[in-house]
Amino acid sequence: MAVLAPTSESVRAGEPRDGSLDEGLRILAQEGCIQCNKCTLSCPVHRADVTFSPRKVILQAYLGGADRVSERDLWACLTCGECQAVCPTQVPYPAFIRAKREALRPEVERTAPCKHGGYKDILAKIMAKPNLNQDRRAWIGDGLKVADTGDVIYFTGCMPYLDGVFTYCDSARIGKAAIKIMNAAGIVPVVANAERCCGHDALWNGDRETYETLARRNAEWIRASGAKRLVTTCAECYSMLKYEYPKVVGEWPVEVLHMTELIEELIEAGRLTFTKPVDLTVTYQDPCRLGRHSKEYDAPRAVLRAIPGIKFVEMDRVRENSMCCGVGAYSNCDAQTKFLQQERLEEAASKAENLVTACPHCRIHFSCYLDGRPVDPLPDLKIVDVTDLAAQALG
Amino acid sequence: MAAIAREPGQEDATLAFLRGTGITYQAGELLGYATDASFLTLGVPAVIVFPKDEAECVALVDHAVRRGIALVPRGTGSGTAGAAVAPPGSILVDMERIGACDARGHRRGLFDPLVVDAKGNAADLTKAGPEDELYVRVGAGRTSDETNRALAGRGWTVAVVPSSGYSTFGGNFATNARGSGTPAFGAFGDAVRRLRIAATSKEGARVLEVTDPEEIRRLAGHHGLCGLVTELDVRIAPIPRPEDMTCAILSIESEDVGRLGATMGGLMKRVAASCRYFAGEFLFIDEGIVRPDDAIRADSVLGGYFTVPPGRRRMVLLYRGRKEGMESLPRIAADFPDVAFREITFPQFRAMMAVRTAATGKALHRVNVPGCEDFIIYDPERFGDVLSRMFAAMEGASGRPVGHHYPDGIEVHYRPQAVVTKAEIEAAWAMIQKLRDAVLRPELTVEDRKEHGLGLALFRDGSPSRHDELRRLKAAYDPVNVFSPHLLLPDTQGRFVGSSFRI
Repeated sequence: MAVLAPTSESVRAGEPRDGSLDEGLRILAQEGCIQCNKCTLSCPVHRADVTFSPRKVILQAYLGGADRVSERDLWACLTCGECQAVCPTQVPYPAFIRAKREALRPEVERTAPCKHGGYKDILAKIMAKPNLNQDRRAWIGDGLKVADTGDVIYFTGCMPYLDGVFTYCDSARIGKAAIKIMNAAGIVPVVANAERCCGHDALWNGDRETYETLARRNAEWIRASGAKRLVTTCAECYSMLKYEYPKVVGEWPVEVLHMTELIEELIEAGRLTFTKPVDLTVTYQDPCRLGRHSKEYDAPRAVLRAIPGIKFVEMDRVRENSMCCGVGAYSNCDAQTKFLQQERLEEAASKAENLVTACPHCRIHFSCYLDGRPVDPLPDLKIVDVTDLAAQALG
Repeated sequence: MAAIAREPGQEDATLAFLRGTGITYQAGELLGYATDASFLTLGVPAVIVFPKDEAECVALVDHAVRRGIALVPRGTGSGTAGAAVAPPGSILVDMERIGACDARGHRRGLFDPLVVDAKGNAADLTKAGPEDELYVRVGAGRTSDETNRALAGRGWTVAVVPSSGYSTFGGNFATNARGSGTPAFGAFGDAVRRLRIAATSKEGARVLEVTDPEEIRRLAGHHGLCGLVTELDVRIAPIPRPEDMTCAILSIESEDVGRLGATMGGLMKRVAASCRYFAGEFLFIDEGIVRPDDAIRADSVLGGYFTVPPGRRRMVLLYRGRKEGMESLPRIAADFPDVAFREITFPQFRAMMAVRTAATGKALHRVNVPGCEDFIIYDPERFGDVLSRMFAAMEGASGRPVGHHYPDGIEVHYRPQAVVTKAEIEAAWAMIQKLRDAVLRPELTVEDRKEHGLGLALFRDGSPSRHDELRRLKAAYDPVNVFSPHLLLPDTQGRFVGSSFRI
């Protein structure tokens, strides 16, 4: 069950009787803040900027200041969910921030201070247009088999477009690895030119209109495909398609899997065997959208443990307590972000030479930091995707 | 005495000082700092400051002495008695980064604490044994959770850990907190060997190092009245190996809460006399204490404790201690036929403790309203009478009591639950006042707020002898009365902040 997606029954049970509350305050009132400060003390942004405090914002909202959330408080939140994970009453602070971003969007001049020239915002807007003519298979290359129809969709997300901007990442190798693994297990996945951006960043940056348009356009072709399962290598796509889409598009006919869940299943069923040792020491970064938002902590670890030759060492802060990669929905990237990334990469480097993640965006954000000018010197550390590692272990 | 009320120009001078020194601060609308976890309020402070080290604390105290401005120290603000609530015109001093951040002021989540012996000399933890008296030298902004994360790999733990392991050591000392480890090591103040404090003189700030154990014990529970504590040597203890430890769960279920309490009170009295334990914790279990999908409900050993027949109440008591100190526990339990005894593993003990710790603040869609934070029942044989009165006052309210069994008494915590609306929260607050009237009675051997500090009720409810002691300490450490002067004034009356909610 998704931490950030309480059941509709439970939402109704806790709903305040006053129907005049705005959406943000309604969300905050569903679960009561007891002002214990665990949220703030665990918040990665707070560690870098002591004046940033979820607890402060919540109390201010209770006392009538819900509409006076500062621009800093609105956009600095990573929506990583660490606050909610430690909260004794499970106050859904990320959902509150999302609602406030949505509510205040018409009133603020600036939306998310999205970096890279607003690339991701623009991409989502383009993707929401009708009659889009895309070639979403150009990156696949020879030797990999994909299909136009079938039972399993490989939802690539924005991965085919990422390498145009984040040139140091070669994100397409994650997709190639996913297809290689599926082919090895006898699966020829559908990769559809009709696919659109999942809308993750639009939703979390308050642009519900664009998000819902994208969700409906994706739902249309996914339903028409007749596929029964949808697999993605992206933690953000996973959380959207699995937990958010059903709220918007109604009946949802596909089972959504993260690639690591599929790999784990294929190994257990004896349809996939890793034979080639990958002699690396690795540690694992729980992506917020896969971990805290979707509570999938075990599948990526099971995959790492199944790869021969891998020495897997956990960091001190893992699973619910894992530290965010520093950027959420491309809405923030500043000096504080760099501090957080430095701290997390230091922690990773103290355990292993390779930091493995299960989200291409965590990989991009960490790689971006390493590619730039780190705050302090760092030992040599490689940022690797778990699917890529798994593909290396195929004979 | 330092000013609490705002005076013309004073705030501007403070802001100019803060800009000049580069100390991080927030001014303007500070609604979000109107209370702490007490839900009590005096209004909002003029400024909140976030010093990053002792040098910034000293500069701040200097400024406060020169300008006659009140400083209200605050740890993480998780206190439930209002000691960290600041009146209008004062400066709220957030101490959370002291000794816990780098030179840029960034708080580090991971750290490697310096370990010292009782004389303050560096010690090697890898060569230490259970008989060694060791301490960690930590900044006042550090927490036991963070410290335990650093020590766990080496098999050691902070000796006295309050339930709120995320509260700061500075706050733990200011309230003289108690918690896990108290049965063996005493209150938090008993586990401190040395401290540094930014205090005042008539000329300005001065930093004092206190090493006299008796003086430290007197200062423990100072409520922030004496200065800004910046660094402490905090006692640590080896974590016993699982094979050396006994963990046990004792459960009783009854329709008659008075009888239930009398039985458990009698049992606890004998345990206190015969056993040596690190932790004795209890909770009342009802259907709402964990979520329906909580994994503990499916646990083959623990799951059964979370089903309670209608009309009955279940109390669960947990103990943890070294085997040699717990030998008589099964025999004592056998003398109480209504009580089911079972040895459990340490992970099972921890799983139950997670429920126990969260129980005061965990509810589906409810806020737990503070107000009856803790009281101690010195005579365990009165436990049944207290519970009878308590549950009668609680009639119709949700929430459940939890608490500790210390060798000197039974500590009870309770917060009723309410939907976050002004009306329900006010009703819960009123109910708590009724509850307090029912149980805070000398004939029941009950004393209020033993382990959370008296906070804003320090003057009203503190004993004359403790007032005298605090005044003597204040004269020695804060002769110009800069630190939290309102706490020793008769007219300090905190309001319940829930009455101001707009929901």
